[in-house]
Amino acid sequence: MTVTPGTAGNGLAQVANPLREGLESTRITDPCTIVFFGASGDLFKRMLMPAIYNLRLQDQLPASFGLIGFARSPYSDDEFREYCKSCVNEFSRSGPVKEPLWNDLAQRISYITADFDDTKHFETLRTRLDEYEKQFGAGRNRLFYLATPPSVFPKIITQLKRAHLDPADNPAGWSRIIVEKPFGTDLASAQALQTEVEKVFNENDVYRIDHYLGKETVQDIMALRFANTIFEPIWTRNYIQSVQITAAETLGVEGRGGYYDNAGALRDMIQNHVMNLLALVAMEPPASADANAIRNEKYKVFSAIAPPAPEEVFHMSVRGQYGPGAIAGEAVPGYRQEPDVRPDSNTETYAALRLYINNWRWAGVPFYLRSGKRLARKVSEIAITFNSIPHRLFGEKSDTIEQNVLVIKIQPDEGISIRFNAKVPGQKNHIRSVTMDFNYGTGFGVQSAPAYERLIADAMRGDATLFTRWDAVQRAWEIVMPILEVWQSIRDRSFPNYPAGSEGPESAAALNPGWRPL
Amino acid sequence: MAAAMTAIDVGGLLDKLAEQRRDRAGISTTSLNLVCFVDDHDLRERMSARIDELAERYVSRAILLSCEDGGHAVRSHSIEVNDTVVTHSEQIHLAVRDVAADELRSIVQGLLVPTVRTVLLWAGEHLTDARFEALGSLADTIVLFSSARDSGSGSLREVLALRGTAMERKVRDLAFLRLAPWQDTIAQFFDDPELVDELPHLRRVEATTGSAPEAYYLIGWLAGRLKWEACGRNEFCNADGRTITVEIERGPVPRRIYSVQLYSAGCVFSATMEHDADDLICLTVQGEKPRQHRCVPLHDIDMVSLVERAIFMPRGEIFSETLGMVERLLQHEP
Repeated sequence: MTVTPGTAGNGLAQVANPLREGLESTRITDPCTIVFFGASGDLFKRMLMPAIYNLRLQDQLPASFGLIGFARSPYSDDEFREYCKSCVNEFSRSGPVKEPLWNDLAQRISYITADFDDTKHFETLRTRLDEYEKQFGAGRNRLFYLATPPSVFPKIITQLKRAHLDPADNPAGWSRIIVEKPFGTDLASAQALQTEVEKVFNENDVYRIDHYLGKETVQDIMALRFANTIFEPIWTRNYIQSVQITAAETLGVEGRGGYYDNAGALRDMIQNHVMNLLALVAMEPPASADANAIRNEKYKVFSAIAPPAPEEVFHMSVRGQYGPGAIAGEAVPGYRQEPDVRPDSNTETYAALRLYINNWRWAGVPFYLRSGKRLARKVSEIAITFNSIPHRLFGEKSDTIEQNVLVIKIQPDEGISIRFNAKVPGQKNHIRSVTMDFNYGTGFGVQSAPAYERLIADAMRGDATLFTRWDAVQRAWEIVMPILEVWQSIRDRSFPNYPAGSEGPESAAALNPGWRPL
Repeated sequence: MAAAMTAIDVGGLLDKLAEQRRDRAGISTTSLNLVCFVDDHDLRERMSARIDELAERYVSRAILLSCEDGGHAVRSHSIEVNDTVVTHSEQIHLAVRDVAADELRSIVQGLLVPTVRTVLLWAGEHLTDARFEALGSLADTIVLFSSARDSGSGSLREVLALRGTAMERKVRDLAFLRLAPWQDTIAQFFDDPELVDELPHLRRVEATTGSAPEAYYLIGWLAGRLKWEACGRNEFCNADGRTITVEIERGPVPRRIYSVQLYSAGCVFSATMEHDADDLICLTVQGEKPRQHRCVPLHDIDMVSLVERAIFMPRGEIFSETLGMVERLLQHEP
């Protein structure tokens, strides 16, 4: 037998299995136990547990695997298994559980009713992990998933250290942590959280999740740019007039008024999701597909964006708040009428920015970002508008020759479309724009996996490509902080300034008269 | 929408498709030509259903050639994406019983969407059929169904005869592709560092399968990976000269593997389909190094997933190595 050092992914040598050679398998090879903090919460119920089951169904989980739920709500192990089963039955994309497969998974699931302030419960977790590692051969590889409210993150991280569950106390395996967004509520709180994280985990062991980055189309931005030769040469200020990134929702705050009223659209969407999309569109080609090579390039984009001076804020940003209106013909209340929202709230439910990237490739090209709730249509897309033709050769005088637009559609229908001009058949030389569409749902014989499945699997594999590194998080906060501070210090007396179900505040047109209709 | 025709008029068929696209006034894109040849009535029904399944998932033009009497038909299927009608798939059914190989090649060539990949799904009885070579020359990838008929090792011998020909690099066999989850499952036993040491000590392999090609491929794959040499009827010898006996039993379901048992000096490794669920394999290790019973899903063995793999995966050295082993094993068969 040959020995291949380091193939286990944990620094340990592993004896090569000759039957593995040439087999295509997406299975995670490192044995591991995943601990979900906040396992009785909504995220676990709707997203995380169904994702784990579907990874099992696709045979991607490692053969030696365990799952421990850790939360305040009281459950016995059996009750928690039943709860997990009900989560899958209700929310899994693959329908109800397959019993033999579920039974196999269920025996690897247990639960600890815990108080996050009590170190004894974390010591119980350590004992349980030791038991799992013996019982299921789960190695000493541990993935901690923080699916709790962000206010509890520092406490959990500190308790992990106290209970000797930190990487330094586990040299025989890996210890990684997935941190749900938001990573901080402003620059200072993000730095404070990072200080706590750094005391326990190395940056390489921290996976800051932004589920947007797990979506297939987001990943396809890089394939579109770097697996084709036709786009990259024109991906510059010489050919591109502007870039619009939209993340619009028809939903309101959906029972999260208390949280949202302290967050707002800038924190909730722009600082993380939308800025990440901007980085993928604007970054230079990385030298390799290695996580750090990609994340280096993303950081360079952020570092080329100057945070606005306070006096510039109102020239490069627009905020809005929805009032009562109608969505799909149904009357909906205004933001200030939502439960747990202050009746005089100054929180924005709509934010639009104009940013410039000060580098050779993008100098002078405006990047328009917008996100909002209760807008006319649910749509997430990146639209790249190319320059106008330099000289008109075709078309009748009455014809409008529209600019070429490349649209990367993220949701609801993932795909790519290109608008170009074509001659209308007939003797006249009329020119009209047409759209060529590629749709992921119909273009390939395979379906995209939901983002959480991809991201959890990547964290188990140790692939951080689709997770955000601290330097980028910090820089994104630095960019939006001046806007946040000005918005917080100066009340917007026009609020509410757009009706639910509309395109957003009219003042957004002053920032960009060419917003794509929703 | 379907339109019956009586003679093979390539231009007329294309006009019909164009007419249907115009009727919908939407977008038409195609990423794949699928040509399917079938010369057996029962198989025709099965293949027709599979073509429908493929058409559901691929933006494609499918040409189904059957050796039956009857007319020809074209039909297209549209869907709506973002308020736009998209012609999603087009199907052309042709009855080609008396059409000679060269003429068939010419007809099909005229019906293909140029510049996109062409896949031939060959469900004809013999690979020596002149129509196989004629249609194969148009295809980028040829998918064979060596276990479609109950012909023992006969169809496999015809696949082996393609070795060294121009067709070889294009050919994928569904019977081999179908093994992928089984190969992965068997490999899983030996991902365990304590069990991988048992591999040089394997003494016996038992496979229960519904068709011969799957069994030969599975055993050929194992032999190739473990550097065994065929040294007698149903016998291999390993590098130390020790004999490994092979037993193939007939299983209950055609084209499916039911179970595989590997015996080493101290352990029995067993992978068996779950009784109540035909998409689960349960694994046990008994003997000196027992392991907990567990089940894994048998996934991606539906026709669409297999064809997907055939189209987009490279042929791979492992398939060539396996074919070599199967050839040597069959040399010891009567």
